[in-house]
Amino acid sequence: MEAHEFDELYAASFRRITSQVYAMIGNLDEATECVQEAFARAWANRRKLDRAEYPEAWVRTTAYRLAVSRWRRTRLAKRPVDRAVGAATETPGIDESHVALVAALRQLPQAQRQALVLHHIADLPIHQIAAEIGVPEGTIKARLSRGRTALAALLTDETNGGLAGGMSHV
Amino acid sequence: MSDPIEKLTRLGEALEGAPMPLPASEVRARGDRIRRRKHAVIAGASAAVVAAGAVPVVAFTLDGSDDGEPPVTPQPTVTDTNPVPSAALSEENLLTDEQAIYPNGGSDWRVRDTYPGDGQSAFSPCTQQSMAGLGAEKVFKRDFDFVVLPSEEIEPTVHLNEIIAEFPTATDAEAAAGAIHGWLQDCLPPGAEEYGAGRFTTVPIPVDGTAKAQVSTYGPVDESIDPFGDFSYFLETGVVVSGDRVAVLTQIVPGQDYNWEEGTPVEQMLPDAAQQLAIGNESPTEVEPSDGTDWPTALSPDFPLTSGWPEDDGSAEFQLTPPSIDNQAMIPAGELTACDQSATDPGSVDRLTTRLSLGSSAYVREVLLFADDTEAARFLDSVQDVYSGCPTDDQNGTPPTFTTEVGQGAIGEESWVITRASDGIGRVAINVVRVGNAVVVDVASDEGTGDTVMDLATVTRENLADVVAALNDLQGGGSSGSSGPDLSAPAGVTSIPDGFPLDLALSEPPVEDGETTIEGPDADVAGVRPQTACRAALAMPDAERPDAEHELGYSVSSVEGYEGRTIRAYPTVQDALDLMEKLRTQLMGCDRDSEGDGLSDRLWRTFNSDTGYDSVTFGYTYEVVDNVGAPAGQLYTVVRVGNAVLAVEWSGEYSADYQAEAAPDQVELTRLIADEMCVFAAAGC
Repeated sequence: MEAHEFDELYAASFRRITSQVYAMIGNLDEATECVQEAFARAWANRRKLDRAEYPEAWVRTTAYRLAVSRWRRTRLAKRPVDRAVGAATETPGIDESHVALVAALRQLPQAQRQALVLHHIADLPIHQIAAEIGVPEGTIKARLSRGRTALAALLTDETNGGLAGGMSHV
Repeated sequence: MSDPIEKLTRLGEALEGAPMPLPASEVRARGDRIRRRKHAVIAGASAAVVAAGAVPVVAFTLDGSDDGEPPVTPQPTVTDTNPVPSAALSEENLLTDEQAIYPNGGSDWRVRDTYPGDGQSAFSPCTQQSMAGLGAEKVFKRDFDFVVLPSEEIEPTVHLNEIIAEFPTATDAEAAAGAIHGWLQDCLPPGAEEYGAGRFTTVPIPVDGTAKAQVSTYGPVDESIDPFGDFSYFLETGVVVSGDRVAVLTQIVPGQDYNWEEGTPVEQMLPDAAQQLAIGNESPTEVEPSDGTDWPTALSPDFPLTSGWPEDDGSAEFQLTPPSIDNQAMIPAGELTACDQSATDPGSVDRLTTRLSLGSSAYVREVLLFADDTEAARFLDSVQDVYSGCPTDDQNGTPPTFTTEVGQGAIGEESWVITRASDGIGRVAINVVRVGNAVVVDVASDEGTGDTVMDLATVTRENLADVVAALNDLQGGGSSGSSGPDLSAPAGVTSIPDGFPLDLALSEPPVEDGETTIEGPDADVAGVRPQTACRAALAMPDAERPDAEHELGYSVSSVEGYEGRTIRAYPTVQDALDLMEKLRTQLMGCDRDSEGDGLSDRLWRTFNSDTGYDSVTFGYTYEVVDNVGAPAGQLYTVVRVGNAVLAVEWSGEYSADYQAEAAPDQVELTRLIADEMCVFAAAGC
């Protein structure tokens, strides 16, 4: 991948991937940083990344794993300096309805949330999600079905006065 | 309320139009730093970072980076520890005033400074490490001024320097040249925003060795030189390797074009540079005849020349011509001919040749005896020369049919591994091994894809084990028979020595922080984790019978992956041998499997594993189906020294290509640790 090709990929997909990862993890700053880091790794691996292997999917998966890894280490506020590509990121304000939606998403089990985001935001077909996550297609279908139902219920609760609910938290 | 799915879909547009937090160039710069760090090896190969300023236009530091990260050293592609006898390198080996030319008729180069060592500035804006850091024992550098004739004015924006270096071995020199080639292929000079790497072209030289030239461009050019932005820097580099010496010519010219009908300046200077470099350097591969040796003069008809080849399965495709001197020899059969050259037989005294055809695969082996070891070495060099002479670059615009690579091997007293890979179907692996006055040549070819030729080379080399052992026996140095060591006897050392450096690092050692967890070295640390291939638990230390008393483990977990190492001492050498044999058998019978977890199949491969010891390197990555496959895999190197076995694991998110590129690093790391395992070999290493 040449520099101009990378730059085009970055310009075309950075915001899209960031919004997808944001939807998956619920933290926009963290999503932005992880996507930046994932792009940096994509450039570091540019000779190995077969362009036909969906570079965007590679970046998204890497960013998501980075985010999960950071979350697991509960180091969200103490990011090592060398992980930062540059200065602290400044993310734009997000519409309130989006905030509410992300808050609802965060109450879904991680697997359902990931399936919903990849299918409805990343617009990936079910077989591709199955390959990207590494589970059978039937499992993805079930997660989507349950996730839609749960999300609708959460947003209904929201309309009725809050985000209370008994969904399991990741 | 609105449809939640519609809301969800619109969330993807939440950041539409938002400003990008960082320009792509900064992200790429970060990626470049990651890449350099991944390739960094051997802490302690220090490079003196020198202040910029000696070169007015292109100010660069020796490590070529802007972040203080460790400098990069090359990855040796071959293992060779034999020192090369040579006269000391000196200033006399540099290009002279007269030889340094700029053939445009109106300019010339004049020597400005000459000094020992790497000098006060890097020799190229792509330099990532000093020559000393690459392992050179002696270095000299000469800077030239660009003189405009007839005014004799010095033009400070045009640069030429030559650096020459002498390494401990010819292999080290080749590795250094390889590293320099790599820097020039993937470079972003300090201050530059773009870099276009040119192709390397081979330049004929009048001495033994190779010379290549490359013209690259980068920019932008400083405004003081190019106020209108029409120029690029033309970076022309010539790299000469001759024996254990390397010379690098670096010329930087700002301009709009760089056209030379009679050859570029560096191309025209390289033959002289090579000639100068070779002054006082003896042949690196000359073998002195061993006096008083009764060389074997005859081969037994029972010599196991077909050992390791596929066995007769009764199919009509299996067509074996048993070993015999009556079979046509390989040279007249054209089987050691390539690129218009043929090997020459300096006068063998006995020979056996055998051939096997099996479907689309063809195998040929020949063992020859010579008058002495010098003659045998000469024949070995002759074979190597044939393939070393094959072009690696386009010839008159036509790419070579096969990509030919020649590297030194690690079996016998001296060996070469030659691979020839087509860009599609077709691969050839040639192993040439000398033991005393005997040489065996092994050629295997099939219709595998060219990109897997190293797999073929690895398998064929391993299949030669019995043949090489028989050559050792022939020379009276074999270990078979009643006089050999009892491999089943209790080993002398069965516990891991205190302070064993299982945590050796190729780069700066990892540091534990919130994202990196380091465990060990400690007997209780798992290190390499159990693994299966084709549903069988792989025979590796710790995988079958954990034994803290005789084991040591070490691991590093980070977001970039998992590195695990386990060393285990077995009761006998035979136990360790059995483990390695079982592991190899498991790997040979498994090229793909599935863990049944919905992921695509795992594709298993073996890699070149030249540790200098009994070792195997292998790994898997996930198959890509319909352009989708998990970007992850695991890479293992397992090495035996005496009665101890060390396993190294690296797991991470990477593609098959990246794994193949990283394998030599892991082999090198394993070799370093294996060097510390000689205590487990009864006779040392």
